[in-house]
Formats: sequence, C-alpha cells, structure tokens
Amino acid sequence: MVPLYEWLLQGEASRWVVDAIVKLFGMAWIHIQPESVAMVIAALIPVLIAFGLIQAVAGGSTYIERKVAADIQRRVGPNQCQPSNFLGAVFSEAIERAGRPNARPGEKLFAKLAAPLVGVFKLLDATLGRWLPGLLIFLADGIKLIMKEDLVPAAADKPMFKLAPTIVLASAFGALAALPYSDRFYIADFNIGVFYIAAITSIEAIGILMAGWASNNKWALLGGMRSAAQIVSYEIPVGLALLTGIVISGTMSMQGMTVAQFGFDGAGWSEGWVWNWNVFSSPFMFVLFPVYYLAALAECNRTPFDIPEAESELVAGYHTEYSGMRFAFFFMAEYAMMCVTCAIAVTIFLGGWSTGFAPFENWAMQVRPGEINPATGLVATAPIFSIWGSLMHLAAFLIKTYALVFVMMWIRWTLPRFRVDQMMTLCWKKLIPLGMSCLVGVSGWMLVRPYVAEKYGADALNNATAGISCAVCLLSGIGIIWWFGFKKLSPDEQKSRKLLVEGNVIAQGTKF
Amino acid sequence: MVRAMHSMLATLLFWIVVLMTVTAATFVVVARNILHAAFALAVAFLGVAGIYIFLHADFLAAVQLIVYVGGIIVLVMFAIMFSAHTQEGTVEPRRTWLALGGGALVAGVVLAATIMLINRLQVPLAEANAHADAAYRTTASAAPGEIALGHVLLGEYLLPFEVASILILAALVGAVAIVRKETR
Repeated sequence: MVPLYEWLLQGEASRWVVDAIVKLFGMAWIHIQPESVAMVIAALIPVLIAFGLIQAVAGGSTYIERKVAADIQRRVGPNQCQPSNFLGAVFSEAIERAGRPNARPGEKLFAKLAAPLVGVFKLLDATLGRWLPGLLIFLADGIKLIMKEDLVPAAADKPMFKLAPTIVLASAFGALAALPYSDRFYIADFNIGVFYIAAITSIEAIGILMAGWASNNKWALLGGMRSAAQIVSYEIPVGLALLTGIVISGTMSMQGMTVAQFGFDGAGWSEGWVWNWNVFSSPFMFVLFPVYYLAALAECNRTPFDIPEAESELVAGYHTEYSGMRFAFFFMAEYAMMCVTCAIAVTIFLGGWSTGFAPFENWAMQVRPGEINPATGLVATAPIFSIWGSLMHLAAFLIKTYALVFVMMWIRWTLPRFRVDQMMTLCWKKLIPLGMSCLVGVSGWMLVRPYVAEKYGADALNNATAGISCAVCLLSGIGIIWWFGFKKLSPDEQKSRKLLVEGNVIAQGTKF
Repeated sequence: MVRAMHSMLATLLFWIVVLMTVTAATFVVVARNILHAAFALAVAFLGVAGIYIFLHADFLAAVQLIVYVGGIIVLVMFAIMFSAHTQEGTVEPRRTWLALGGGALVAGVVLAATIMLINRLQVPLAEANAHADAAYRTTASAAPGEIALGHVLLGEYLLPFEVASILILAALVGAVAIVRKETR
C-alpha cells in the first residue's frame, strides 16, 4: 500500500517508530534501511486489517444467515436467544453451587462476584436481546469451535489434512486484499485487480480436493471431486462475466472500474446516477448480471448448488472429517467467498462504491478528473473525494454487497438442491452460451458506440442506451411476472404450487 | 505489484520465492506418493508465478495461477484420483544409476544451454533488468504490459493465436468423441 508507505517515511510519529526499529535491529547484526522497515510495516498493517475483516465478515454473515433462516423457515432458537441464556446460565449455576453446604471458598467468591453480573445480563436481555435477539449466538459458535477437540482421523494423510483448510481460507483471504471498499479505504489497487481475484480464488479448488482426498473417506472424496468439478465448470461463466466488465470499463483495476461507472461529462461533472451503472449501460450487461450471480452462487458451493456437501447423500462432503477450528476455517472461507463474489458483482455491475445519487457525488468531490490536484500539482485522472464522501462510499459499498449476500441467503433457505446433471446442464448448456453471446454483444456495442456518438451526439446515445436498457428491464420484469403469475400451469405444477402455498399458510399459523 | 519495494527487501523476498519453487520442484521428483507430488507441483507453479511478479509481469503471474494452479493441477489430480492403477496412491521408484546419470546429463545440458544463452545476449542480463525496473517504475500508474500484450496477440500474432485456439477446441471435441464411443 503505497500511500501508507510514504506516510510512514514522512509522518512525525510513524517516522519515530521506524527509526526505533532500525536502531534496535540494525545496530545489533545487520544494516537495515528505514525504507525496508516502512515497507514491512506498510505490508503488515493491511494484512492485519484484512485478517480482522475476514473474521468480522464471517461472524456478521453467520448472524445474518441465522436470522434469515429463522425468519424464512420459522426456526426457533437463533431468533430468540437472549444474552442471559448465553453466559447467564453459567453464573446462575455458580450461585446455586455456592448455596450448598459443602461449597468451596473459591466457589463462594465466584458467586459473590457473579451476583451483580446476573443483573447486567437481565438489563442486556431487556435491551440487546429485545432489539437484536440471537446476536451472541456467533460468539457462542466461536467459543464452541475453539473448545472442540481437533480430531485428525488415524487413516488420514496428516500433513495434507492439516494444510487443506489453510489453503481454502488463504485463497478467500487473498481476494479480500483487492476489493475496492471505498475511494480512499482499500488495501491494494492492482492494475490487474479483477484478474488477480479470479486467479487467487481458483486456488480454492485445490484446497477442497486436498481436504477430500486427505480425509481418506469416500464421502469426503466424492464431495471434494464434485466441488472441484463444479468450481472449474462455473469459473467459465464467471470469467466471461468478468471479461465483459473489463471490455465495458476499459480497465482491470477495481478502482478504475468503479470510476468508469460515473459517466463524467466534458467538464468533469459526474452523472453518477443509478442508470450510469454498468448493469444498465447496455441490455447485454443486464442479461449478464443474473448469469454472473448464479455462477458465483455455484462457485461458493451454496444451495441450490451445494451438491458437494449434500447432507442427504454425502454427510457433509469434503469437510466430513473436520472438527473444531479446522472446520471453522472452511466455514469462514465460505462466508468470505460469498462476500467477495458479491463485492465483485457490485464492482462490475452495480457501480462499486458509488451511491448512485449524483448530487451526493458532486457534493463530496473535491478534485474533479481533468483538474489540477493541489496536493501533487498534477492533473488528476480520477476524482478525489472528501473524507465524508469516502465514508459515504464505504457505507454504499457495504450496503450493496450485503444486499446481494442477503439474496444468496434468501435463495439458500427457499430453494431445494439441484441434481449433479441439472447443475452441469445449467452451466454448460445455458450460462456459458448466454455469457458468450453477451460478451460478443457488449464488444459489438463498444465498437458501435463511438460512431453513433459522432453521428447523433453523445446525449442522443446516452438517451438511447438508457431507453433500450429500460425497455429490456421492463420486458424482463413483465416476463418474470407472467411466468410466475399468469402462465398456464401443468397439473403437476399446479399441485406443487398448491402444496407450497398450503405449507406456507400452515407455517405462518404455527405458534411457538 | 512490487513497484515501490526496496531493493534489499525485494532481494530477500525473491530468494524466499526461489527457495520455495526449487524445494517444491525437488519434492515433485522425490515424492513417493503421486498426489503429494501433484500438490508440490502446484506449489512450484505458485513460486513461478511469484518469479513472474518479480519480472514485473503481473498479468502473466495471474495467468500462471489461473491456468496451471486452478486448471491443470486440478485436472492432474482428477486423472490421478480416477485412474485405477494408483489405487494405493503410491509408486515405487526404481532409482538406478542409469536413471540418475541420464537425469544429470539432461540437467547439465539445460544448464549449459542457459548459461550460453545468457552469455550471448546483446545487452547483459543485469543491465537489462535494471533498465526494465526503471521503465516499470515511471509507468507504473498507467497500466503497462497487458494492453500491449492484447494488441500483439490479437494483431500481429492473430493467426497463430487462432490456430492454437482451434487446436485446443479440436482436442476438446476429440476427448468428448472418445468418451461417447465408450458409452455406446
């Protein structure tokens, strides 16, 4: 991270830290330059931030997933767990023990200390427990996973068994480094950004195969093979969608892709509206968005594509033999991968960190592209925003990403699982031809654009683009409504839909 | 990716990557278990991708990861896991003096050829590297390599590129045809 590196060499306090480290180690054995120390610190800090981020992402997503599951399937427990259920039980048992005649002094002391905490938990129940029931479940999950015995099967290939979860987590972890969280807050902006993410996440398949094979278990092996086949297959539609994003933005950098969706006019004023986002910039992109989203869903091994860990056939697939923290690594990797793929979808299709509301963007912009940046004296190629603008963009990015993550969870708790052949048919016979034709279509669109703009003016072109995109949106919307609402159903379909509605009515009427 | 990296640190990282690559490559050759060898090959490819980054070929490094680690190694593992001959997962290597001598001879020829090639370069390698480093630093903000690479691949060398594509497609269709014949 270059700005951090420069700040470490220039800033007063950080310069002192760098000098202290140089003195401490440089005097003793070898000569160390302050630049090297600054480089190492500048590399380590983002790594630590990303490490915290992956845990926050996994913990937060688990909580959201539990809430969504509880709401959609009316599951009791996660939606009603109170703070006092969590640790209060421990304390009330301690108090009860201290009341017994043979209580030891330590127990009495503990009960005395715990007595006021019971009141604290009652208070937490009334506040936190009422507003966000089940919030502490993920802490309980974490404690459970850390405390569990770390089992390694006797017949397993031990080194590979232990290495596999690390590889899977590392590939998701590496992808977090290149995401554009905001215009100012990001870990790294590679010139090959999208391509880097595609490359680093493709390592996941190796970790999963490794886990499946090293477990020395038929279910795990089958799960690993299925998963690797699925990931390798669905990488193709994902790759096509990424390629289309690169074609339409003209860059592979994640920040560059976001800025390209602002639609700057000649004077550097941002259009920055929702309809400047790539997904509405041509009808092909609008079709491609669901293609990417479905393929990303399959790459994350989520329902309806979770055949690698199909409980009814394979126990738990490639992580059958894993317990404790090693299992948690797979778990964290799954949630991190969900967030990463949704963040890519947001960056390529939904405007990245832009809010989609032009007055906000123009208010927050300090230096417009094409103007001279007072800090460096050079002509700015990308817009520079105020700190409030950056925070606003961070919020916009997270809200958009988590909205897509929410839809993934919604799909998981609503739809049943595909069969293997259905999954492969969807990929090779539907998504890949669709993605391929969209790629050709967008390339043609980008070729034709300059000629149309020259002949009829840029305004007419933008209006025509928006018009065609809106027409496609409208038509597909009508199509979806017709398909689900007015299409004449076959007797089988009628029967299954009636059952679905009745089941929902029964579930809604159930009182717990 | 390593645009602002200081030379000493870069050298240290470079030797770590080189050590990783060479260790993994050695393990590929000496491993008794064929799947261990495949995983070690993945690590070796990873190291090669790291060396590409040190040569400022970021795009090539990503291609190396996608094609070799994400694609070919997975296919190699599939082949190993599906084939019946390696049910035990192990092979008994027969290390005869003849094999060792042959291997040493091939390695020696490759080493000699590399040294001769480096000596015959018009510009000395170290000088060329320093020049490339300097050129990369000044243009780091503008996307370098990949745009030129795209123009070369789809312009000057379009015909070889397309011929290679058709070759791969033919191999794919051929594989499907062979598999279908068996099921009939």
